[in-house]
Amino acid sequence: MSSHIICRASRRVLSWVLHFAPARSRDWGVAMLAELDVIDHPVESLNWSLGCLAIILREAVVNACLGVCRDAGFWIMAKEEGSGIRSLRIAAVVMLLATLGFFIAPSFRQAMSIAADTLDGAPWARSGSGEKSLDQARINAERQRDAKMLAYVAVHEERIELAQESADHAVAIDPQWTWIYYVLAYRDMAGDPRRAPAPQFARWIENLHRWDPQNAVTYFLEAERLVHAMHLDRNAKQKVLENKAWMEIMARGFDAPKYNSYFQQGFNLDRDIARQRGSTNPLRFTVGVVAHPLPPNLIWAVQYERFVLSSTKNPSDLMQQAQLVAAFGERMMAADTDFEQIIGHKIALDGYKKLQQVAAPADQALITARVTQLESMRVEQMQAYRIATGITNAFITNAVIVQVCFILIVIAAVTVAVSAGFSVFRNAKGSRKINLIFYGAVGIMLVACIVAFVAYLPYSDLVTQAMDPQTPVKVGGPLLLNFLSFTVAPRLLLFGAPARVYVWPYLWIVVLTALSLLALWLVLRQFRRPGPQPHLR
Amino acid sequence: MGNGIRMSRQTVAVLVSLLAEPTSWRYGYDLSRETGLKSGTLYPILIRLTADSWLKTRWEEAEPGRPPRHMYRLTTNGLHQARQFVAEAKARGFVPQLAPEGSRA
Repeated sequence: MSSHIICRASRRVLSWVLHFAPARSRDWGVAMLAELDVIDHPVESLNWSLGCLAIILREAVVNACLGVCRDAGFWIMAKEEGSGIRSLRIAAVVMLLATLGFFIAPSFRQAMSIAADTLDGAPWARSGSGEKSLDQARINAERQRDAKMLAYVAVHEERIELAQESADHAVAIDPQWTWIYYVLAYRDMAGDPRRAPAPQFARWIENLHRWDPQNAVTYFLEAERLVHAMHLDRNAKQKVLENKAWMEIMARGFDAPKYNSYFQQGFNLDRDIARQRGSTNPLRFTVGVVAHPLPPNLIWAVQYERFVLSSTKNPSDLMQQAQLVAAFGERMMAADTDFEQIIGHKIALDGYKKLQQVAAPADQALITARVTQLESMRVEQMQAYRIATGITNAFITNAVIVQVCFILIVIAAVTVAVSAGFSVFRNAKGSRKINLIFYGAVGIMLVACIVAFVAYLPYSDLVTQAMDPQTPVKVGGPLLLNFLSFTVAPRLLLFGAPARVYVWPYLWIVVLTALSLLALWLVLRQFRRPGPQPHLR
Repeated sequence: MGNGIRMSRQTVAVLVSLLAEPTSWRYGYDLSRETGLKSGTLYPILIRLTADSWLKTRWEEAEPGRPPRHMYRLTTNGLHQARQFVAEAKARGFVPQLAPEGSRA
């Protein structure tokens, strides 16, 4: 036995570490320590003890990681020959059951369904309820005279004749659904602008005027139809503003005491039907929210107000026009969507600023106060926009994680099925490689399920809030719009994205993948180790 | 071939070394010198071979002032398996390179 200080130190350290070594590796540690006694060379002694320490450390890590698993029942097989493989099979069954357990959770199924629907980034094609589903709903609704369902079919049916038929039937049963003609008329214009209007267009507008005579949006539809009929290409603005019929209709729209683009009615209809059908795909609902038509010519409304505010120098006429514009802007600011509110804000501010120039001194203070208020609101809007952008980026992060996990789950599930099939049909049960692939895929599938479930939690919370009938439309609509981050993610993946959006998801994915692979490696290593060695004692 | 034994140059080297004197009890340090493997590589291989019953082990009789050393020898089954394993390894190009005489682990 060498008395060199390094040899003695190596021996001391190794004997000390052996006290903390897992029981299964302690005997081997003693065996290695015994060899150290015959090594005289200091460097060799140090190398030997370092190798031993590495083994003990590795065993300790494996033990720590798998302690829970062993406690969960792996001890059952510990006394048997070939216990490792049996234990691994039980572990795989447990992991598969846990994976299936995730699919029982509605929010997890929802996450997978949305990830599948948005992988190509274009859920719009599948956003409707499907023609067959709508046909069935229409037939049932007609039989039961269910006006709400007929209105829903009319709003979502892309075949215009069927949509028209359902709309007429719904309105005949209950006139409160007359607003769906607004959707049909808008949709008729959303196609090719040079196409002649649908024969029913005039009747839809007439019905809307009769049912909701004070609403500005019907006039805007009419005005837009005139713009379409002009077949504009160049100098569009000038041609439109010179069109007397268009100017008259817009004047009536600005003068109308009410502004309602029926967003609330559309949202409530979709939400009620989604709840009634027990829909588990909020993306369809979201697309419905997004697709709800806003008056098509809001930008023309801005052009109109600028024109009327600059078309006269007569103070009395100017004041009258400015009052009309400001009042219309105020009505539009009370709308349910951000876009309408922003345009309304702009129109109102223009109107009040013009009023400041011509109003009587007695009214100046009041007008100035409102202008100041509106300008501060613009700052608030910008701040809210920045916050919303941050939230959207955070949601995109989660959407990417869910989508990547979905892909991993699909690949892992296919791998599990193929390797299991290979094992059974090719009689390759003993193949180490097949086993490795099978158990690895099962582990990755479980890890991906856990990660996807956690990443989708904020979304499932959004769905709960948005689907609650107590949640106002102004809150519910923007909440659901966050689901569009699922449609953004694949496009960003394909066409590049700012690093700030993707750095965290990528890091997460790399870390989780590394951790899951490490865990699997440790599991597999563990089962290659022997059990306790009675003959060494 | 045992399911737990992975074919590697190191494993082949250990088996070749053991096959060189199949009836003798061998010490870990001696095997390390012969194969040129460090303890951190050698012992996991010995552990696996023991677990798969290719090796039998025993503690030597203790001498005064020195702890007993652990010794290894191929079992009858292990001898047969090891020969087959080494032959297959050589056929696949896993040529073991034992450490030259006098080298250290």
